[in-house]
Amino acid sequence: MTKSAVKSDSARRQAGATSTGKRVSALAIPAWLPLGGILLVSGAETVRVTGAHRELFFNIDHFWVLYMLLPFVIGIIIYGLVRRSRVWRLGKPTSLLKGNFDNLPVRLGRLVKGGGGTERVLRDPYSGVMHLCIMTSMIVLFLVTALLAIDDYIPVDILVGPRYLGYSLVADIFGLVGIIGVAMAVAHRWVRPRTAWLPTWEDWLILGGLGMLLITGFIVEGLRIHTSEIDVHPEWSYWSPVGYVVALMFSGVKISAALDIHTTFWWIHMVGALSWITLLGYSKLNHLVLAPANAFLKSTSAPGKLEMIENIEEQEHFGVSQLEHFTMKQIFELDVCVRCGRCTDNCPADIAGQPLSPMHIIQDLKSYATAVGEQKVANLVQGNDLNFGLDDETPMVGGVVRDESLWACRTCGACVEACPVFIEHVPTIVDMRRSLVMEEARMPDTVQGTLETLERQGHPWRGTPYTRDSWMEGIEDQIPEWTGEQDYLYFVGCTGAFVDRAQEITRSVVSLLREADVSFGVIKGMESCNGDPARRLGHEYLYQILAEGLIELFNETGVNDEQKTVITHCPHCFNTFLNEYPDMGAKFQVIHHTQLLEQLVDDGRLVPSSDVPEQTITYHDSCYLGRHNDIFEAPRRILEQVPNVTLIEMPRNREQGLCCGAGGGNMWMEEQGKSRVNEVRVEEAVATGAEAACTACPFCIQMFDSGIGTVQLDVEDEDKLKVLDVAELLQAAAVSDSE
Amino acid sequence: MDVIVCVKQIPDPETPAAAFKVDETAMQVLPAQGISPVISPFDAQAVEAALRIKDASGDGTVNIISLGPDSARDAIKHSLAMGADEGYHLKDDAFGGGDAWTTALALSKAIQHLGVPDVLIFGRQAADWDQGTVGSIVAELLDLPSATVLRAVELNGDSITVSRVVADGFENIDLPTPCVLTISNEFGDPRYPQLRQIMQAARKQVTELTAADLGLDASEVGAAGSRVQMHALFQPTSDVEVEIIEGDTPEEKAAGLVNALREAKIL
Ligand code: SF4
Ligand code: SF4
Ligand code: SF4
Repeated sequence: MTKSAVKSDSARRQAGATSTGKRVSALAIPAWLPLGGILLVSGAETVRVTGAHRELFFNIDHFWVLYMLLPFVIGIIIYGLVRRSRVWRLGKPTSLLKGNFDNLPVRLGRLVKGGGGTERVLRDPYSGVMHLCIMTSMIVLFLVTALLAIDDYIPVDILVGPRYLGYSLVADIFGLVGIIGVAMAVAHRWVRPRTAWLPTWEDWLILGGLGMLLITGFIVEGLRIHTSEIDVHPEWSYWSPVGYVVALMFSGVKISAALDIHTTFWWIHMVGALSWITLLGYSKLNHLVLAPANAFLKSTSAPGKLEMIENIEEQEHFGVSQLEHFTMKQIFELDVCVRCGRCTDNCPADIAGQPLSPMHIIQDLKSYATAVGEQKVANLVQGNDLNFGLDDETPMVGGVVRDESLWACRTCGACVEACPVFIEHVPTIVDMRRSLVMEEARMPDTVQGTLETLERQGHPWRGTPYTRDSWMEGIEDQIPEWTGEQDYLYFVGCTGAFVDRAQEITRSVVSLLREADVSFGVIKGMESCNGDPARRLGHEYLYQILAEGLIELFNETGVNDEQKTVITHCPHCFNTFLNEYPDMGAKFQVIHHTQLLEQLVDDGRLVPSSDVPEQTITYHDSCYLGRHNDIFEAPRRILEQVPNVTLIEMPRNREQGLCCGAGGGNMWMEEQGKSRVNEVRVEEAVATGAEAACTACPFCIQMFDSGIGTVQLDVEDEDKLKVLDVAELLQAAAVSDSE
Repeated sequence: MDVIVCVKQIPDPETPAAAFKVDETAMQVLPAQGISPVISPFDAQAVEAALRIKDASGDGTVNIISLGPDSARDAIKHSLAMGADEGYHLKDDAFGGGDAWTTALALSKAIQHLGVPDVLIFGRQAADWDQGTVGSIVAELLDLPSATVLRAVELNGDSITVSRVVADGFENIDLPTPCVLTISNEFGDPRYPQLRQIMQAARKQVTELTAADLGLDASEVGAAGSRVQMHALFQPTSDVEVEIIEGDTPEEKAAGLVNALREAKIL
């Protein structure tokens, strides 16, 4: 070595952990704070310790073997990733992968915050701290090692004296932090497992390996201190507290023997580190690289938006029934999953004991992509038919992923919201549904009935006794017909028209709009479904037909105009108009009734003054309003302004809100499984002690009403939870002549 | 095995009562706004039965005939989308205003025109007028054995075993081919067409046949040939009157109820 130095080996524990460097994150700020403190103290110690330093390869011969190994290690990792990438590339290219990144700032922000900053992991304090410990430890130890190596090869000495000692301390502390993190991770798996948890050999290999690396690192350091530092410069070794303690434990060992042990452990540690890091290309450790990449790749449009199948009439297949029908991103994503179970733990279907676990869907597809995907890649390479040698015994859709799992999905997005590595389950699930419906025409009877009703009658409510205009009966003259002159079109939607409970909401909205003197109109008798139910049920073709029809009506009646705004009280209609209709040529603005009502209250055009009875209310977030479109506060602010109302929250609220069970077309399906989602949610609402639950979606209202029937079977009618739309409550408070 | 299915396009039976309107003077059902006519559900089941026979026998064709105005083409297209092979549309102004007899006559001519197949299938009745006679009249006109209101059909070599729904249970019968069958709702749900089939069906040509093509004179078919005359078409009204019987004790109320029932001449 060109510079002679005394050194701390713990700094090299992670010599192989090269790629952790990619995750350096400014957001792991809490972890950097101690570092600053340490540097300060070490500065103060300057005088006492001038000259402290160490040697890079103390007691090691043939260290160059290490440098020889390094390219191999990097090669092995790259080989692993490239091999996986060939499976990813079976998928269809998306504009993303052609380099057309929309919303680059959003993507970069997500890369930094969600990828590097592990924003979503931090939501759960235990896992957050655990992950932060491991991550910062790896980053710091990597930097520390790199610094030592750099120091060794440049002519100037950086790491001498107090700087060196501070450096030693930092390395030691973060070594310890790493061990704490690993211990927490092990305990997590044993002591506090998540309900949906799937630890396999990978977990133990990664954690066990990392733990061993950290421990052998300290042993090597302890032995170095014991053999070369403690007797000569004991005051230096205090700066490696853990190493110092280890050195004391070895104090009885003869120096010559200790030097031999040191060499052995050094090599174990180093070769171990290099082997461990190769897991990056072959196990879920790949999330170090893939998770930030996926944070970057995740769609930037509203989470509730589904991608349109363009030129549907010319497609060779509809939806996804084969691996190669997925997009590259969808296949790539499967490899990013770390089996953490967060998605499943938040999935309403799983919570209710129904046959769906988003984690298992992703994991099962991943295994399938591994087995079948690699065969397909081989076929491609050999110029065979893609499916050569593959039997159909376990088809991907219907075998690997069961039909009932696909149908149980509410498209509520709780999984997508929870996933720390930004996997998008919903489009993957809906794509497979699309093939069930359009390709195979295989679906539950109830779904078939709903689709047929949509085709024939233009609404999903099979067997309804009502017509589109039934809700107006008796108040026709109070309802302004849309002329094209008004500012707002009130789109009633099918539920608001064909379901009696929802008709009440429709009338409340009209009464409020009239009270506030809003310039609005209704297209009487001519509305038709916007196609949302068909789309969520997987019938993209029917969706497009219905949507084209409605857009045509909007064109003819002057609604499709940037100056016009469509009001909906149905969050499903809202989401479809706002996020999906632009693809179909829509130009109009969209507002949900809670947004408009909030404005009207703010402007003083609606004054919630009259006495509604004193009551505690809990607000249930509709997924398509809240999680999918970020409208959490408007309905709450309305409720807060109604006199005598106290708002309380259920434990799962806002982004973490639990679906009522109706989404994704489940409004029209029979539920299968232990219990029903609406009952789970009603129990949560009842448990708050609230007298009423308010929501802003006609589906949620129906789901709550029917859930209360079973959950509160034995409760007297007047003590049962009341369920109201925000508009109904506001009407009672702000419209003087309302009953 | 070759099968021909006769289907009819009708107003959607799920049309809510409030949207169902008739023109009493013209004696016609008015199409409900926004609700498309559909293939009669029993007929869709008949198509399903035919497709299953074709599948079970391993070869043959399923062809569709429908008599009606332009919109009847949709019922044919729907059947084609379900998997039928060819469609024939009996379309002629002369067919307008006909009854079960003229319909059966035109259908039987069309069947002879195409060649009598091994099996002829109908829905047990059209779900609009619910007469349930066309299948039997066609069997009579073609002099074929027939079995009506079936819940199951099974191929048995060259003969066919069917299960009829009767008032007190089921009746199993063997029929020789060719024969006429009418299918009841107990048969089971018809398949939902795959999108690809819908698109293929949309592109498929439907052959149109006029009265002249079938060798029928305009005076034999449609209103001119009808044997049934309609005298009136109206929607029955049902009035509900509620009277609450007052009384201080249950006995008084019961006595009041008995009196009221007597007055209404129910007791
Ligand atoms: S969208 Fe909702 S219901 Fe579907 S898998 Fe995700 S969490 Fe479960
Ligand atoms: S999909 Fe995401 S949330 Fe679900 S197990 Fe995998 S990493 Fe965890
Ligand atoms: S999307 Fe709107 S219009 Fe369509 S079914 Fe839902 S409530 Fe009705």
